[in-house]
Amino acid sequence: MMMTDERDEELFRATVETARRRTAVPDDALLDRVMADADRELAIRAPRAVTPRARRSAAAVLLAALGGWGAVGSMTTATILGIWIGVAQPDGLNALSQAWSGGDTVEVPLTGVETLVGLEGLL
Amino acid sequence: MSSDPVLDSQSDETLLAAYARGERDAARILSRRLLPRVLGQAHRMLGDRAEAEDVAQEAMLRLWRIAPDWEADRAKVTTWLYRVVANLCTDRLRKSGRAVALESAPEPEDTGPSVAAGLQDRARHMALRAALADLPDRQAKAVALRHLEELPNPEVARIMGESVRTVESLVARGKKGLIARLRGRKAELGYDDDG
Repeated sequence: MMMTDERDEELFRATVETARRRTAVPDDALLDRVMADADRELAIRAPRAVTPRARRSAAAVLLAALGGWGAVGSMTTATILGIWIGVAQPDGLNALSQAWSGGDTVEVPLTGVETLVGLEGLL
Repeated sequence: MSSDPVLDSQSDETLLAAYARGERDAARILSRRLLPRVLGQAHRMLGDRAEAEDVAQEAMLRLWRIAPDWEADRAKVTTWLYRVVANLCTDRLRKSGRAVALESAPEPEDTGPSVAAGLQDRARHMALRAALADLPDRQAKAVALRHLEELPNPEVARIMGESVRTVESLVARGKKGLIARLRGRKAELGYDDDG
């Protein structure tokens, strides 16, 4: 009859041997899963593609901020007209207003006392 | 599937660095090279193919993730993987292994010798799994690496980050603990007490 220690050793050896015999060959499905993980990790780490932005001049930035050439063209026209009005008045304006009103000049006080009637208590 | 012969000849560590730089082929070569060992280790500890595949995939995923930070003077890739697989397996054993009762091993229905032998193998493996699950983690890892993977103690020590002396102690206590847990199941496992 075997000694207890020897039987224990045999029990251990045989059980471990059973486990050692287990081999597992990776199949294509497992390899595909592992490679899918590898690809995903690469994609996560890859620096995102950056489209280089052309450097713009200060004038181009200002032009864009004002709404482009179309808007600037309209503003230019309005600005020139305003300057002309400022320089050329009052004769030109009078002629213009007389033409609209049939020859009579109409004066409209903008800051006269009439406009303040009734507002005394509030001012 | 053919591989790049130049990459094929590279070390695991070189291939991992190549993968970190974006070379997908390096990952494929590493997978083909390392997966059999990783899967085998997990299968021997867990005794279940599906669980072993999950562990193998998780271990490889961790390898991909650590690739950019891998240091040249770090331990070998295989050493690192042994540790990761052992940790993942003991985690699984701790969570579910104790719930796997030996009684869950199927009873032989066919009396044919190959079927009976297969079922007995399964019963032994389930018993080993249950016993490993019941051991303290470090003992379970040490005894599995030493006796299932048949690694020398110094290599087990490197894998576990312990001294050789500590590993010798862990292996001895682990083996003793396993035997104690298996002893009561001799008849179920097909061992005759009369030896």
